[in-house]
Amino acid sequence: MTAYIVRRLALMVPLLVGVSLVTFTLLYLVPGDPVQSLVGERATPQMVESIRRELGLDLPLHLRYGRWLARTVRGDLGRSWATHRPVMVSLIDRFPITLKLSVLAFALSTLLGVTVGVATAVREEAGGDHLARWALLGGQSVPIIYLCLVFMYVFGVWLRLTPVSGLGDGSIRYFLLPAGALGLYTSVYKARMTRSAMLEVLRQDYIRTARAKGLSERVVIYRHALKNAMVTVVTVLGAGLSALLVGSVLTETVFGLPGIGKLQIDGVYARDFPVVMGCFLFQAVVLSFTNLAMDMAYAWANPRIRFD
Amino acid sequence: MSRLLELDKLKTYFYTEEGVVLAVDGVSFHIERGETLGVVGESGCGKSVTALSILRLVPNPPGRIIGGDILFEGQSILRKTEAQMRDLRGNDIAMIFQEPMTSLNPVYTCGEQIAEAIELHQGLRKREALEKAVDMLKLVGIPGPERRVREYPHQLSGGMRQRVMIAMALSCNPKLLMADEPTTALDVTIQAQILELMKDLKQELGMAIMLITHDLGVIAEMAKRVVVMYAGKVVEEADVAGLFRKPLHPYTEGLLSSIPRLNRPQGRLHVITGQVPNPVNLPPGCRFHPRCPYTEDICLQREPELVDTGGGRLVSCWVRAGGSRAEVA
Repeated sequence: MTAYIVRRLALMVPLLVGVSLVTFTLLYLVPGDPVQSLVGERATPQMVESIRRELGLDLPLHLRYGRWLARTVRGDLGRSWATHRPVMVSLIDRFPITLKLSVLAFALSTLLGVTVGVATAVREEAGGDHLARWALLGGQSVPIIYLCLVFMYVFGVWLRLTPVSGLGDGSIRYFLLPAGALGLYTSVYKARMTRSAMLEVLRQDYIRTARAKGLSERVVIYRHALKNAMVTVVTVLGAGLSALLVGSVLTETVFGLPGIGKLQIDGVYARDFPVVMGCFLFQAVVLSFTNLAMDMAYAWANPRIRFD
Repeated sequence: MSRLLELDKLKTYFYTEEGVVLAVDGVSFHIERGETLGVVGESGCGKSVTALSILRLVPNPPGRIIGGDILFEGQSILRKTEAQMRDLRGNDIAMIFQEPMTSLNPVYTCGEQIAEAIELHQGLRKREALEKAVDMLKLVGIPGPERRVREYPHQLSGGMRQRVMIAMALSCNPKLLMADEPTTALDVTIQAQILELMKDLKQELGMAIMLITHDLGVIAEMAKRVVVMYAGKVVEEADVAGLFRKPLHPYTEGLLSSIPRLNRPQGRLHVITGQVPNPVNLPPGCRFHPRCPYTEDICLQREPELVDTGGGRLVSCWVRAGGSRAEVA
């Protein structure tokens, strides 16, 4: 087990190099002049040229990447071209916001998704099941932006239960709406996955064995069926959690939450290379760790999996 | 004292899109305490559905018990509440299934699965129940039970898993063990071992066994009395010796002569011509008549009753059970 974890961690090194190489090249190819957006319209060509040289933009791609890599390996992600703040500081500042949003949204969507999934699988073909399936289909078809706006209007403007947007003092009240919208949105496919996994499991012979033992239907469903269904669902949950943790660009933008997603999208608009690169690298690290954690969870759910 | 189990014209139908499947259609037989009853018939004749009906575990929808009665120790199972049924299942009546590979839950250890029934029905704590699970594994002849109890089903072979299933079924000392093709999925040597084990355990624990199989060899080995089923009906009931000596129903006769003999030179193997009838669209009259070599006019028109021919032998056939024809005529 330990050996497995060490090997997975070691594998992260080539992965991160690969990710950085690809994103660096893509950024190089992206149209738009970063210096122009930094200095504005009225800068003289001499000013533009000197800033370009200062930032190393006059160098060929491989030299620029080499310089960036050498610095990054020493733990220095550089400073934002626009704000001159160290990128590392921005990431550390903003990650807690994304983390808070992700954990809330993930908890909500898992709870909702798994519960609805189990309930609809057990009452297969009943009226409630059909209704829930249509609701799920509807939920899946609505764009997240629209859902965010509806949440803002209904809970923030109309019912005045929560702040409409912004971070405020950073208390949980400001996260309720975005986490609610994001949680509801991501619960849909979890419910569908849980439902189909449960339907599959409930047909199995060992469910009949469990019933023949005299177990109550509740025990049969939650102890015997759900744990087996989770073997499939855990993978989806993991992918969902990673997707949330790398920052929800749309939700953070709509609700004005300064998380990782917002940092990244602002960086992209400004062609702020160090910020964008820092975000990508950070996200790759987060993804690797959540994937590892999910593989561990998978092994817990499925005893047939062993590490070696 | 009342009989252990008595089925009285039990009818379990399945309501499917193609039509109503008469899976079990008026089946009557009984099982005495401590007796082994064999139930024989080919796939789809209603053997397994009969057993599931006794536990009231027929999947509903589409299946439903629509008529007749099941008496266990003189009490109607069909009138029990679901909670009373749960007390019965795994406790008084236990069942083992055909597929040992898929009948155990892959995500729990063997010990946990055996202990679960013990905790439920005998009110033991988890630790005590797990100790009893070890004893049960020892009883069914699994080597190294202390280790096996912590293993998952995928770490065991098919024969071992079937032993675990038997241990689970017997853990609460059931009065009736229903074994649905317990050895079909196992290879021949393991098959013999499992049958031997069931025989020994029956001696030791004194429960009755309802042994469902399509294998007449297994019946000869294990059972005292046999019920032969065809297309949802009982066509013949007899003691084992009598059945093998002189089968009354043409279907039983056909089954027996289809067995290859090692001690006799034989050319082609005997077969029963035709196919098992479509359960949605059964032939009129006797359900076996399209495949029967002795068919008479009456067989096409009226369904024969199960008639007692004396000496505990019952048969449902116009040709072989002479007595009943007088009534018709």
